[in-house]
Amino acid sequence: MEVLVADDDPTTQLMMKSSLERLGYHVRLATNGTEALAILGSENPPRLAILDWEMPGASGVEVCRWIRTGGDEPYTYIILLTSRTSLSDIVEAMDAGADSFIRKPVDPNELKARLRPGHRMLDLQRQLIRAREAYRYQARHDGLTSLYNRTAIVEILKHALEVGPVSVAMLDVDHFKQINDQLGHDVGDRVLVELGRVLSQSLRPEDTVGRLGGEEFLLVLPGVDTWEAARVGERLRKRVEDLQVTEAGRVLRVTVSVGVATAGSHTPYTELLKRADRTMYAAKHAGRNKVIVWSDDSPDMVA
Amino acid sequence: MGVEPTREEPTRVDLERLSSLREIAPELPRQMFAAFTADLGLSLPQLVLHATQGNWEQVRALAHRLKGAAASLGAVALQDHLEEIEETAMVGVVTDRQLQELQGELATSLLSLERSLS
Repeated sequence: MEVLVADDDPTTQLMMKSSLERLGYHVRLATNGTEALAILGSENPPRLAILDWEMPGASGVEVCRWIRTGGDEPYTYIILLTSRTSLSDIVEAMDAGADSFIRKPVDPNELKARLRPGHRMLDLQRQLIRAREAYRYQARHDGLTSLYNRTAIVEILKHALEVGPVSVAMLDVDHFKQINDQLGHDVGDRVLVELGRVLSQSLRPEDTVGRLGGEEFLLVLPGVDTWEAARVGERLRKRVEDLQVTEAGRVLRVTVSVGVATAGSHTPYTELLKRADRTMYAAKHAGRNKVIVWSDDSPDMVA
Repeated sequence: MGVEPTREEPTRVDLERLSSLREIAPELPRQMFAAFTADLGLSLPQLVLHATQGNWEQVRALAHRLKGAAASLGAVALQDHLEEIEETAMVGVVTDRQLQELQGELATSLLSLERSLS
């Protein structure tokens, strides 16, 4: 782990560096408060900092205050190095955001002991951030396909409609119930995973795909007109048609019915979804493995 | 610089401190001593100059830093002298006599440290 030692005294610096390296730390040195601020404000700064209270540029307490105004994530555990031990000094340092003190001259054993709670706190925060990120991911992604889930893809659609016109393509796997009933849910799941992979690999960076639920997927295509969206839908339909899922030595063919619809900005997202849903069902009724485009008069078939 | 041998050294230099530094790395006390003397070569003339110019805040800051360095090396008598200068500079005027005593203590303490390290 990296630790910043900020002290303007070369003798103390040498002692701290040797002690910390012996404990397995990688030490970065600053000779004044300004240097310490620059290091702590850089990208990937040390998460442990030992700051001399009194140094040129900015005092340890001032550096401490500055760090705390930047928020607590990721946390910097700050130990102040000082010969001051009065109650008012301790209160001032704690108010500025220091976590601990080490008295000068530094005792190597005390140094080791003072660093231990810092490690615990930083480890705990790392675990909490990791857990929170995992929950955030789970809240927005489908557990099976890893695509965006219904909540997330609808949210993305809503935002896209606030910016400009949007096309959507709603895809539904044909005869999916039969796949599940005849070959088992694990095969059905594999079909969905493969389909998710094909869809996500076939889009422009600005497009998004999500699983609405069951065997239904939604593509959000911002700034794409109806006929370009129809071409995207048709390209995807063909790719899915060419997809081969092998099961017990047998090749399983999958097809999708696709409904495409476009709406101008500020159209309610529910309206756009309703149109895509109706055209997707029109594709089913027209014999499946087809792309149908919404028009205000009646849905048009593309393929 | 007439320094009486070893009888004075236990109080002038904290030998336990030196020993704990050696435990970190056998060469560490010597390296720190070298760093301290190199720093003194620059800082001491500055301290004297600031004192003659009446820049008491600079005198205080330098004395404070050197005090920390002396304490790190276990030079306790020197540490006390520097602390006295720091405290005096905080509230008033550091006298020539104090500066002379500091320079005398420095010479004695450095010699004691050198002996303890050999």
